[in-house]
Amino acid sequence: MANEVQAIELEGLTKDFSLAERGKYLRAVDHLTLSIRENSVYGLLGPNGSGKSTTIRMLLGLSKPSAGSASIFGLSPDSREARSRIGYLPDAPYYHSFLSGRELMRFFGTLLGIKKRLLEERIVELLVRFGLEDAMDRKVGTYSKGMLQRLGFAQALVGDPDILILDEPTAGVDPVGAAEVGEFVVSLKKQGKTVLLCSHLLTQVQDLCDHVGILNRGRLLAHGKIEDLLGDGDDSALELDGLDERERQEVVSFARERGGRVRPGRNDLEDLFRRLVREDSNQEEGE
Amino acid sequence: MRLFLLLLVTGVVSLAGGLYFQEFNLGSGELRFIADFGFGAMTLFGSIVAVVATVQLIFGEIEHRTVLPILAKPVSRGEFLLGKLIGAWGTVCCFVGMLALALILALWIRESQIIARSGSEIASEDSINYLGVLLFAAMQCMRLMVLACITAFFSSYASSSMFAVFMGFFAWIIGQLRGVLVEQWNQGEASLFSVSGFLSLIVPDLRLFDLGAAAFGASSFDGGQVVGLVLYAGVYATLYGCLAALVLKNREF
Repeated sequence: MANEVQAIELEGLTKDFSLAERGKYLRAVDHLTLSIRENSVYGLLGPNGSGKSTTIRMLLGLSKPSAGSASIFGLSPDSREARSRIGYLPDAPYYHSFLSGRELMRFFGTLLGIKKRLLEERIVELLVRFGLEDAMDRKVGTYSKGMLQRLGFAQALVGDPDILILDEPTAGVDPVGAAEVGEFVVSLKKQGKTVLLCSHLLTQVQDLCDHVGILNRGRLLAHGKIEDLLGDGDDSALELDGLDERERQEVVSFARERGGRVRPGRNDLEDLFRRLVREDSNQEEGE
Repeated sequence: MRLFLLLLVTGVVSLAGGLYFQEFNLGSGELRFIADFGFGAMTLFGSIVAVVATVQLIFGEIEHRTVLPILAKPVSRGEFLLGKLIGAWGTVCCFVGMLALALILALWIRESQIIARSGSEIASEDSINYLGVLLFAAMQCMRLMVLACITAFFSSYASSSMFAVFMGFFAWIIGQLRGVLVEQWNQGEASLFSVSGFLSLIVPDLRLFDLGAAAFGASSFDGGQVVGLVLYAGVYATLYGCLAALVLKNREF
């Protein structure tokens, strides 16, 4: 394990935004420390305003940390080399609507310094791969939401990056599109890429990610392998197995007679997420 | 693009208007009147294009967040700014170039008509020096480069496009009045001297670029003056470009 290459490392990453009131600030990210190893899919989860996007922006060099550090393969996010190894899919399609899909790809490819002939080949390959072959010469402003999302994936991949940062890739996408995103993330991992995925679709994250981190109010509440996190259920919750219907009913009746609560066993990431965020919020209110 | 075309059409129309508004001519030669009309259109509409294009290209990217995927690529903020400034200045140069060509064409047509009607050459003081017209246009490009860089500085920290546009036009007006203001202040109390000194240092005198006189008669232009103006524009464009880059470098996205 010691010789595992860490694609992304955050060390005590903190971000404060100063408020209008003098001397007051809002802590968006609070001493965030985590490592994402190469060729893995990491899910960063959290409710709105939990600091996911701020963390991503610091990773991309778009925002400067107030304290701590972030690194991409050991390089500062401000370095050109680090950013040439990252593909970024923003949380909304922030693209120039007056360009065609092909022109937009050409624009981003040129920024990455890709040679013209190679770039043209890659543009067609990616746009075909994402089902945009018929729309590649149409203005981006005429694209549907799903098409914009696919174009976003294509532009993120134009430089053949080692790390893909996907900020809410399923936001506003229909279930079919969301499933396609899932398949795409799996294919990326197979290609040896590292994926940092921020998503609200917890079931999908559970299926796709090797590791997850759960953020709330900028703090990392839990992180690790999904199996480990879900295995850490409290001892008072029991899962019944190997009993027939009658025996199961007897156990349920017994538990209820003694004042216990019985509910269908559903120990998944969504439960964990809700529990952690609720507990953290309650604790905050208590303080 | 739509604004560019609108202003271009307005500029050409106002230039053409110069041919037909001779009743407002207060005694100067007809060609001089037309040229002045064209120079005015170049200055006024060119400044509007410079301010609006710069705000659109820099603050527009920030406002619409299209800057995010760009800066996530290996592009420094200085490079981003430089690219945008070159784009804005290129637009301005195209605009001024087109108006200059339209003006030269209008002047040439009118000159030919006057000569054909009178059957004699135009008096030398009223004749047009076409090289002078081109020089005026080139100096407008220099002036508008400075204005674009000042606007880029305001755009780099603005939080609304209205603010950036307003400040751009404010800088243009102050730049036009700068010579007069400094003169006035220097005649006043000594305590104002430092203000005038500071103002003369940070605000470029945009009136210096008005070399319209070189376009008339046999007047020739001074090469040293032209080189001096190019350097003057270069210094202020670099100063405000660097300030804009510095502000943009520290801007949070």
